[in-house]
Amino acid sequence: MNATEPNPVKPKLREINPFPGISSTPSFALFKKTLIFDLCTVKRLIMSVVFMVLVPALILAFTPPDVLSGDEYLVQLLGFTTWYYNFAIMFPIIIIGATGPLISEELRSGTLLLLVSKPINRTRIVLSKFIALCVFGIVVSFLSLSIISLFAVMKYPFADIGEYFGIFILYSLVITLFFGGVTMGFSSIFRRPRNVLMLPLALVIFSFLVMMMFKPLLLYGNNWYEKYLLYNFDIGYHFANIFLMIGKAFVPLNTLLDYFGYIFWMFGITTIDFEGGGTDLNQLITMILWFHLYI
Amino acid sequence: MIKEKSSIPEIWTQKLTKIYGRGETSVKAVNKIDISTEPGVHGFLGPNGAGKTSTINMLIGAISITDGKANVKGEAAGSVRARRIIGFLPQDPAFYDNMSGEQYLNYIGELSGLRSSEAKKKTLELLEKLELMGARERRIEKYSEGMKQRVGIAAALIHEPEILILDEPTSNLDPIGRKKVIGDIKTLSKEVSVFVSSHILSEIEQMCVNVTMINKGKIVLADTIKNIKKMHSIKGGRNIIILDTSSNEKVIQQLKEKDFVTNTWIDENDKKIYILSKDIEMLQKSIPKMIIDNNVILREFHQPETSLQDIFIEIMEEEVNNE
Repeated sequence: MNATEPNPVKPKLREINPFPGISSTPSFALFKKTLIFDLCTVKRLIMSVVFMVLVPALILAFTPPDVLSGDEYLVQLLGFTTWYYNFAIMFPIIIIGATGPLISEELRSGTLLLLVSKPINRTRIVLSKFIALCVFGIVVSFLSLSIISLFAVMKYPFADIGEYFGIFILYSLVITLFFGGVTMGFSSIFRRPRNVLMLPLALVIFSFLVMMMFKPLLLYGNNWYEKYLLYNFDIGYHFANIFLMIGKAFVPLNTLLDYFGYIFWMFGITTIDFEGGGTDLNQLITMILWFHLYI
Repeated sequence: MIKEKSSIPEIWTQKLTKIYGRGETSVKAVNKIDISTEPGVHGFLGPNGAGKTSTINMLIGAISITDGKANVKGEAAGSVRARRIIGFLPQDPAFYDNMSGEQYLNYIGELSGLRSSEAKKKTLELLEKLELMGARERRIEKYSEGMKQRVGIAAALIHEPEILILDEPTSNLDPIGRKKVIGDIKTLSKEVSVFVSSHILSEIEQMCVNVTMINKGKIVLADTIKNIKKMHSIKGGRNIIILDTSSNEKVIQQLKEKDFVTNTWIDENDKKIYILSKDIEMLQKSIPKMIIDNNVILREFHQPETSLQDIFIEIMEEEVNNE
């Protein structure tokens, strides 16, 4: 047969799956495999929940009952530890750690070659893994918050922290989207998990620890933080803003300020431009710009 | 069931080119190659670094095509439709070590577009067929290399592909594993077309009827193995006859006097006479007469078949000389 003959007419192909439902698509198979075999392994789930619950549980266990006089103080105490320790530091680290190997491991081990030879395009490969990551994030935050709430209610029967459950679940999804997205981007470039994790972890440390230390210097005196619009480059500030936006949808603003006021103050929100709304959209746009920059 | 011959080539490429990098540092891994394969097993030969894996990666859609065209059963290489009809086994098949053989094949089946129930059914069928049923619940990391290779083949076959592309399928195996895999490929070729790359030419010779030889990104030869050997013999590459009689010393003296004998000697190892001739027909006609005239017993008289490996090495040497 002559190899240079014109390209023959395409035949009608036998369809493997003429009526594909969601449950039988390659994307769903990849989602399922990522969730069950890569993310929600027993070891990873237990470790994640233990790290998430550890500090709030210790605070609850060692706080004398007479320190707290009512629901407000309990929510304030738990709100701070849950927001700062869990959702600003521990949860992003868990998400980054879980996302890191998702693509880089397939690259390193060579399984990606088999994956790209299957009838699934690259965008769907990334999306299937990313959706599985979001489900993992929700599972971890749900389990952790359930355990923290259970501890709190067991020690302080008057506690009513149920309404904050939804806020934190939604907020955890935002964290997963951001840090998961950033890490997945690096995961597609680097083969070694160490290289993948380095920059996203540095981002967490800078945004939630280093910036926290220098922020008082920037906020007071000449107020460079506001004067030179430095808050636009502060991820922690944006996250606190998003938390406020989500929170306002569930509880009255004043209650939110009472319980989480210290966080909003720490992240510069109440000291800069918080006038009871109006600037949220700007902050959201800046956040989206940040997200695009990372992608 | 043997597949009927179709007018559409199983794999078809036209001026297929792959260049890695840009500018002065760019490397042309595949250089305008034309391939057209028929149903059956087609061998794709070449030394390491010849461009075999790059060509295969373009066919399965793992890497982009720099220039030219490639079709698989009339479908553009790399398209989702083309990938549905391909079953692929990479050179070093990688597996998810935390999965069992059964879980892995179920996953690959679903990933290939099968419904969950279909994937489970096909998994059990293939595990049975490739003698892996006893190890189906064991983690793949505990499998031997041969077992892993068979899982790889099962993964390539699970969605009943029309074309099986195998990249160096025996490279990691011991001799027993190789024999088993070659046997499997031969059996499979009755149901599905196979495009197999290798640098182990003796194996290709056992499996294929048609071959394409590639070197430094270019095709150097493409034909049936039978034709290649015939053409090579006519070209005058190897007109050797091996002769063994009850008195080799006596016979060799007479052979040395013949005009058509270029060179002759008694091999130190097997003590047989090796005769190199410029007129092989004349030599074949004169030997029986010589045996009768000298009154010696004929023990062996044959023309050794040139192996594909010999031809390949000579072609490669010619290429080097031409540069």
